[in-house]
Amino acid sequence: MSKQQNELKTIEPPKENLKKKQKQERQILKKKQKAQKQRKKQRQKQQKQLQKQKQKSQKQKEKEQKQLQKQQKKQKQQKSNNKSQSQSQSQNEIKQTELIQNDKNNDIETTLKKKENNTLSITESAITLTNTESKNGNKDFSSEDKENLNQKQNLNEKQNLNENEKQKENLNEKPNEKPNENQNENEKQNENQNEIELESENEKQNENLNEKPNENQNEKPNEKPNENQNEKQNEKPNENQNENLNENLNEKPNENENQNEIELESENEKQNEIELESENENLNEKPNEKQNEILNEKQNENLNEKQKENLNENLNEKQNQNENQNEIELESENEKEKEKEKTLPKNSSQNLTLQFDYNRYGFVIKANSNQKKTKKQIIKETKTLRKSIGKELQRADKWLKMFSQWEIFKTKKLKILQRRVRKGIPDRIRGEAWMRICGSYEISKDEKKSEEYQKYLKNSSNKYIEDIQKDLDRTFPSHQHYKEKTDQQRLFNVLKALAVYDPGVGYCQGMAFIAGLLLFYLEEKNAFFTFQVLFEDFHMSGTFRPGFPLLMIQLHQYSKLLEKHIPKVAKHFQECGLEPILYANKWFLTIYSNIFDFETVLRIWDNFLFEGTIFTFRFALALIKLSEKKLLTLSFDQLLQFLQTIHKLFEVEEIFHQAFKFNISKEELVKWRDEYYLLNKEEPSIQNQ
Amino acid sequence: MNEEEEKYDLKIILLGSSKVGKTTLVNRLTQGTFENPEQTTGATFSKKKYQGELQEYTFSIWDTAGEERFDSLSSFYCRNSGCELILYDITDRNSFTNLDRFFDKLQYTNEDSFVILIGTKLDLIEETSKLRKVTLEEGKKKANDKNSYFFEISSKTGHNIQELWETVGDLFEKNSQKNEIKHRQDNNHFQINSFTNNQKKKNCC
Repeated sequence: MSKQQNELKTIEPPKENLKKKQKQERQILKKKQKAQKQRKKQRQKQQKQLQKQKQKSQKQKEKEQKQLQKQQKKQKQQKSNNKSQSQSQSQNEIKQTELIQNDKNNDIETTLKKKENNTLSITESAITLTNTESKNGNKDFSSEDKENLNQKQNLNEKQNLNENEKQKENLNEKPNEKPNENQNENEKQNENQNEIELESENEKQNENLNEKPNENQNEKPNEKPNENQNEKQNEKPNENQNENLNENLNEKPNENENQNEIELESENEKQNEIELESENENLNEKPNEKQNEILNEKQNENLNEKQKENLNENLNEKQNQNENQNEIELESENEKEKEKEKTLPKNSSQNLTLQFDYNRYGFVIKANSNQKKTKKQIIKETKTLRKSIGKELQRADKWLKMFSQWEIFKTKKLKILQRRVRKGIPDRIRGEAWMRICGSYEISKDEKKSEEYQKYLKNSSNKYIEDIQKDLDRTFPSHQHYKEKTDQQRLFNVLKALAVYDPGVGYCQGMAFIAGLLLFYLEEKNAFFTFQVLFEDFHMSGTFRPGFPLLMIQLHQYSKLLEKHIPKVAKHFQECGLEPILYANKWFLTIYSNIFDFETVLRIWDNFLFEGTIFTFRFALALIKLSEKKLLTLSFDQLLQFLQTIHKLFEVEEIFHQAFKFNISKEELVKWRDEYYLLNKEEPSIQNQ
Repeated sequence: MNEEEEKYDLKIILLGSSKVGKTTLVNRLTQGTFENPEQTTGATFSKKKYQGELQEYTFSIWDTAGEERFDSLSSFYCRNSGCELILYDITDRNSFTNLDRFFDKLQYTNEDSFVILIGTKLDLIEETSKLRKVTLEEGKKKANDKNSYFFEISSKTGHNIQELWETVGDLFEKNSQKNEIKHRQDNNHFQINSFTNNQKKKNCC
């Protein structure tokens, strides 16, 4: 990411010129709209058009070649200016325009940076992109949401303007052309641009947002143009894509119809999938040839769609050829000559070696996990994803409203708050929500506390420093954050500050997972405050203190709860000699944070921060309850093994549903705690120390 | 209860300071992989089969947390253990000087259990021996003092891993010839695996 930013800095965008350009672009937008209207009319006279378009296609070919030449020249120029790879140049070119737009639209730059920065903002920006959907549904936006909307609009605008810029170049080249042609030309340009973007994005794969899931490389050629289509649709109600589609569909063979239908349906979804959830396969592993085949295929499909909008199908073949040519040309920018026949894209093949894939939360996806997805599966998945995003957005709105009148929800409307926590806190606002529900939000506003934190950081003589350092690269090692030194440093700071803050606890393995988890969503300082709250209000200092006093109490309470709620299993465990400490201490030490998949962990923590330890018990009981029948058939050895993998057996919702069925009162927990003290002759004060 | 279904013939427990490579060794043994694992909290259980001369055995492997404060839990894990692998990092002097802490744990294990002292991360000193902080001789001497076996290994390259595993198996088979095989589950569950013992004796003699 930092590299990328550096590259960006090296090229200063010529702002003034570009502002002028923007004006021109807007004019072109208008022209474009007119052109689209015209095109509609023309479609009604299809036969005539067919002839015309045949002619146009020839012109187009010529034009494209010129464009390509131009692009290549540009790239070469840039190359001479900047010694970075040609692909990153094209990337920069695009970034340049983006950045200029940022001058006008202040928010974008921040969103872009955020995108690159961390997972939190991945979702944020992704949600921004999908805001179009919820826009109509939810008119009451809080300020934050409006901001997001603005960002989205800006993004759209920006993208359109980028397109238009290209288009404008075309216009400058051939001002006499008919608007319709320009339109086509522009479309083409967009495609080219997209291709450049795609190429450059391949390079960026190690970064969050831009790093695309490799599988998506296949789809990108589809999706990017689709994205553009969508944006146009949004901005230009006159151009009714579906109408065009229908018109064209009549002429099309059935195969195409289906394909296109599917593609149109899933346009947004795919887009979302790319931006949002990068839980996809590794193209890296696929041979280059295959990849190219797929790329070409996809591009053809994609083109079909384009042509529906712009041309009649007679041109398909020619255009496809052109398109492929373009693609190859772009990819082989390094070889400056125009022998573009099916050369392998050099840079992409280089890219195929080093990258990781990350899911929505920034965790590395194992290469083989879902390589065999069919297209239908992908579409299905994206549909469900889209639904869930829509819901998440709605929920986020509700949460934002709650934030604005937090005191009421924290007291009178606690039930509503509870219900919403149990549904899962929307990822976008999770950080603030966590701080509010556990009580560290107020602390974070206290400047004295911040000063204290700085003091803790300055202490460099803590005896736990070495221990902490040992664990930095062993905390969520599959997450991109903690591969990097800067994020390891954040983790180190929080843990060291804690060790200084509570020397009685110092550092204990397990704490790093909690700190690491908090740091996914919170700033360093706030993560520390939240951990402080865990230590004090949640008594978790007792969990990690030498001797694990609180852990021991909790294990006792847990076995009592087991006796009460699932007596058969409790009895069986006793007969086998299986004590909770042998299988459950992880659950209570790290509050499941290093056990379950990340999404589940987040849901658990939503509830843990709201309900406290009671939820930890609930969840443990739910796990046992759901596997009750199986557990009763197992021996000691088998139990151990089974319980170690128990987290893989159930669906999240299933566990949560079960968990909330258990009625656990604080009174009985206190009773059992005192019982434990009696048994072990310890002072009850330990817990509060 | 299908208690007879699957029994572990030997319980192996790994001990050693934090980050000496316990989990890495387990991963190498059970999955044949080498990667940077997460820190271990509490203990993790896994199993591996060992092909003896006559039959296949299943060993359970307990990977423990190395940090000192987890020691208070380790008596639970050491119970009925038949083999202790005590690890230190040959590039980390502290992990070697701390070793007595783990030898003390042997009081919780089976009487006839055997101990193997293991120096890890041998691959690190292949390039520059400067990194080595504990000499081979020191390691051997320590093992001698504590009446245990000794290996220097690398989970990364796999150096000595197979030898280590064979030694564990051999020692187990020798032990089981002499004694009843104790199952770690419970002291009430002593089981005389006389069939196995007889077979082996015939073969060996």
